[in-house]
Amino acid sequence: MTDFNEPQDILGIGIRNLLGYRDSRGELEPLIANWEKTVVVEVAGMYPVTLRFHGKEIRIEPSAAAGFDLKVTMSIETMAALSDGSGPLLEFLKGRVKVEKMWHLGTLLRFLKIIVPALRIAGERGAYHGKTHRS
Amino acid sequence: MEKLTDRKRSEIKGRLEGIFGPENVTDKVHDLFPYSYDATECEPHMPDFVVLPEYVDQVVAVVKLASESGVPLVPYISGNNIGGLTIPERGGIVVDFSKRMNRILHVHESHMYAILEPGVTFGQLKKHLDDHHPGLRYSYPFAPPFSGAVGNAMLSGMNNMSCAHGSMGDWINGVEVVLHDGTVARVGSCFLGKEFRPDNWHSRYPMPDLLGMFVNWQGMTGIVTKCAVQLWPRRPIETAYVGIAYGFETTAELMRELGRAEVIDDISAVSVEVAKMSVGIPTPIKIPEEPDFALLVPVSALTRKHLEAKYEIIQDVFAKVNRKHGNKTFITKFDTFASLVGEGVRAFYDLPGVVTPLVEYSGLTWFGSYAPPEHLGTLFEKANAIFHKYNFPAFVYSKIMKSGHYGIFRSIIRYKKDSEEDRAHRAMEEFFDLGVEHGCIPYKAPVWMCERLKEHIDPNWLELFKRVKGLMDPKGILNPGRWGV
Repeated sequence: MTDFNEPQDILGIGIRNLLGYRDSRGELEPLIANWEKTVVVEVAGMYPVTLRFHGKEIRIEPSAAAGFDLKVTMSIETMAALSDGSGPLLEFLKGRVKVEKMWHLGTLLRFLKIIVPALRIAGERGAYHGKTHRS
Repeated sequence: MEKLTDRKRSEIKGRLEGIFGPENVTDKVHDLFPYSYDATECEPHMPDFVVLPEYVDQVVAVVKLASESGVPLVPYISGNNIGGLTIPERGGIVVDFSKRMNRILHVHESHMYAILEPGVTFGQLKKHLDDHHPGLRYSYPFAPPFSGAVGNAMLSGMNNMSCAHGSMGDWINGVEVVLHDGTVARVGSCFLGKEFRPDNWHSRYPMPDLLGMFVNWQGMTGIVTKCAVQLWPRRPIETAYVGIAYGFETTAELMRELGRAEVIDDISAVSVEVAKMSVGIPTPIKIPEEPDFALLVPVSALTRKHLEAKYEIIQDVFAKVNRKHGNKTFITKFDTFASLVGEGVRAFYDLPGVVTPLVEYSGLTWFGSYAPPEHLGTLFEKANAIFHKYNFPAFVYSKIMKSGHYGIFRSIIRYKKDSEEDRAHRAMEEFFDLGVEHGCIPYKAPVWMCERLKEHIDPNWLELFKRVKGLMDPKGILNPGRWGV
């Protein structure tokens, strides 16, 4: 299992939950093994969150770390669209996902491999509960 | 009430056992104790007896006994109000309706109402409707499913359809009430006919609206034994959205605009700290970058296109507020938000769900009020400062009622009874002063708050209030001490 800190801010809690979905399925560990990267995720209009990947550990902090390897910015609506099944490439081409330091292509692809399926799981859970709530 | 002598106590107990049966009467300290206090800082008082009625005749008999002997009566349902409303201020007999007088007597499909006994809970009513009347729905409040539906209606609580339909006090079609001398009266359209009939509880007008003599009186004028509440057509689509907002005035404006758009069932805003509490952070501290409020917006619709049209209007409202305030609000589907932030937030949406932040501490107190919507932004800002001053996590809960005719403003404090009660109470006093200064009127208010309110109100209203109370309860047996009278 991955070793997480317990973030105290609302976006940090959200990202911790998202990654937790994959971790509980055993999908996260192979993806982050020996991945020493710092990724900033910013929800447009809100604030940035830094994810530090280190061995089996992920630390999530409510700020943009200097010297990040990658920064991904998107809106809540785009996160929702990704969770509903929209492709990340499509969202990128539409200008809804913005990436800084895109030349770190390997880092970008690895991060998308981590986060997009996690968003999908969230979307599936939401759809399931939506049905139970008559929506 | 003077302390009962042993002889008097024994005599009353014998008569109560004759009315209710010995198994439904107690004067044992360990049975009485849970009825002596609630989650608030209100001073505890022990009752002398607890009785469990099953039939109206028994309520009539106990009212006559109380009237004759001068022993107070306190109606009780689930006891989880946060205003000390069922603490027996002067001792006496607690009449606990929750155990045996909790039947759903009738659901009228075409007139859309349910006649309830006082012990019926929200969870019970929901299950009954889901099982037997799937085309109808009632509502749920910001309270656990074991909360009493009749108590909440009689005290003008609110629910998940309050933006569309207003206070639950407005949803009452009629009541059956036992007066101080044991007279049983039916109030509302059910007054037609000499006997109780389940088919004529459809409205409370156009006769003189005597319900006003009982609604919001906290059991001081009579004991309600039946209550007809309005039900609503269940729409095929029921869903919800979550708004996120930065800025106190921005949040207030967003709420007002959504209310006026008349497409939502309800809107309730909570401090972002509350959302964090519900996903497992017991004492959250807001970082400056975080939004100030999360807003739950239930919406129902007849068809998918109907829902899409409503959502388009809701999005337009968000866009309008963002144009004015600079992109400070966001909207997403509730289910997506819950999956992202944590399943704990689902407790805020639909029954059965116990809102964990409300029940995880030994103490819970509030300033709950009906508020002028135009002052909500100021109230949020100043309340936030009071929470910080007293070092409690911000816990504001607010609604827009009946499309915006009025609002709800609540400041809630969860605290540890053994160590934080005094601090919580001082904060409550400041919330009261803040609220009254901005035109708020406390509801389900504890005695101390009512006493304080008296300093701010029309003295002739108070005189009228006392006269009505004197008329309805000349011997002072009906929940005495409430409102300090």
